[in-house]
Amino acid sequence: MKTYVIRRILQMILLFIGISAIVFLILNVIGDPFAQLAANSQIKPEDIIRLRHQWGFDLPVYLRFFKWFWATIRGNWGISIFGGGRPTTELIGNAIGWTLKFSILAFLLSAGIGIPIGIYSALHQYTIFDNIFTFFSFFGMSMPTFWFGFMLMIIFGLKLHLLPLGGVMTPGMETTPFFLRILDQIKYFVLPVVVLSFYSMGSWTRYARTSMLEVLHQDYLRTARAKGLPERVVIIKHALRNALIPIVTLLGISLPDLISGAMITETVFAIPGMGRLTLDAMMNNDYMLAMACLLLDSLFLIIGNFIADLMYAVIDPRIKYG
Amino acid sequence: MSGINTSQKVESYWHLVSKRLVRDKIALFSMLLIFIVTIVCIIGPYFSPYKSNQMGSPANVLQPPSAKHWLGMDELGRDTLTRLLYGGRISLLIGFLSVFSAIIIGVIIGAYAGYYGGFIDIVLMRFTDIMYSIPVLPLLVVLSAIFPGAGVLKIALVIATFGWMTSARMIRGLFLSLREELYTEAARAIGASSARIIWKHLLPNSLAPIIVFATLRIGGNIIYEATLSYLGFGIMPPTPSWGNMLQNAQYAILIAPWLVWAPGIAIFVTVLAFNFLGDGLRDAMDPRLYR
Repeated sequence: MKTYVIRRILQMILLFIGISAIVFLILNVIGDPFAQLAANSQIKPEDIIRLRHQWGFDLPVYLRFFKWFWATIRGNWGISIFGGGRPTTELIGNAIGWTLKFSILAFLLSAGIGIPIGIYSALHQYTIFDNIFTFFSFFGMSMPTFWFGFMLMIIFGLKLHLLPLGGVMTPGMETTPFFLRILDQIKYFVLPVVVLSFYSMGSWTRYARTSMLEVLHQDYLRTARAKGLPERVVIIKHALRNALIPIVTLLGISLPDLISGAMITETVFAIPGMGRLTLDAMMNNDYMLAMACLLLDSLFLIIGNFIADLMYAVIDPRIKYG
Repeated sequence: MSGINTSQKVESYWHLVSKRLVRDKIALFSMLLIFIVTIVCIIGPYFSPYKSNQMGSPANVLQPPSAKHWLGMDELGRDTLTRLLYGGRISLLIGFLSVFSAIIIGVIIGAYAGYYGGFIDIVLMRFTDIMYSIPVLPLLVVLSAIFPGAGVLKIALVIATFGWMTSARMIRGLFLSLREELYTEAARAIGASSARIIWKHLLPNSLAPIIVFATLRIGGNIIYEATLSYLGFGIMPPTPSWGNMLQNAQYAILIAPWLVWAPGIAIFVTVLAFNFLGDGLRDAMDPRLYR
């Protein structure tokens, strides 16, 4: 087991370096981020040359990569050219806070409601409950998120005036006491969290239902019933535990989504989160910010996969890794 | 050899599948719906007196639904229904093409990785992992920059490029287990080549999950195309697609809601149908769900 973990960690590091190289290459193909500075007449050419040298743009691509990688390892993630020269770590730090708040809430909602519903559907397959829940789980998955969010915003924001039209805080409330601020923020959270969770709630429901159904027809359950165990014990102690194994691995794979945020939802509801930051950085060719965001996404993707594999190996005693 | 009626087994499996599918009324209805929508989108435009780009006079802009224009007109005086039908052609074509390509790539990679195992498996799976970990957005920007223009083929291939990894993993898993089946060993014993085993024996037996996967992905890819239009990477106007019609009409939701509802409902109903059908197929085809 320990050798497996060490081997995986080494593979992860290699994968990480490989991914950063590929992403770096891609972003450098797109174009010179300092070009837009040249168009600004208020910036002196010497400053541009200095900036270029500082961030390694007078070097060929492969040397630039090493320079960037060395700086990144040591914690220097560059500045945001488009965002007024602020360090990317500051921008990312601000954005991640918002993204985490929304995505953790959405995750708890979607998994917390979806999985039990899926399991219930499996236990009562083909009943009216199953059909209703099936319909609702597909409901969320059958719409583009930008349309769904937009519709909700129109209905609840414009027509009914119940909820705000996006953003995260009423302007001017940054300095009010903590408790009042939270109360105010709740109404900003409702719609984005609903939109975020609706889509994945459907997947969790389907996945839990399928997994549970697969387990329910196994022979060992028949054995357990033949032994005389009460049905409740059969379901909870045997069926559920085995059905949850693949679900738990899915939980690990959902980890990177918590960090990278939902680009579309954040844009629709004007949430200053990681998703929107990444999107804006890419669109504006804000090179270093884009690299930093994408790197963070890749990092958590790799870690998430690793945790999923690890949990799978730990929970299922039948799996042996060399 | 003619005494062994091997065709009997294959026929009865699909027979069972269709019998079980018919029991699922919702899935049956969905299949019918998809069929109707596809036919209407292919044939419909020939019945329409309008062209998709035929712009009306400025006085006729943003007209609500009427007898002459069943779904009203958009901001350039074009008939919404006609555009919806043309757009349906494009969106459905992108959905089918992208899934088809993703499956072909996935089958090639997954089959060889799963069947041969060992070093080939490791190499192919690492390659799949790397492709899986590359963030979509920068790749999208680069692909759009390198290949300008936004044809159906290009969009379908782009979507397939981001989606083949899931099918490859699934097929690899299938082949890993099918490889241990008795008929594989028998085929190898009589000297069948690996290629023949893969394509003639293992692949037909993995068709069921592939079909389920494909059906569910078509819906997902239609939505993906809409999202790409939202980000600006989808089908470019004036060519209509459900995605870009939806995106372009959002600003007019309060003054011309039919412009948003038409493509929105079209996408929703079609994708919902694909999801129900795929789920019904999965229930019908999974041998472990025998009751």
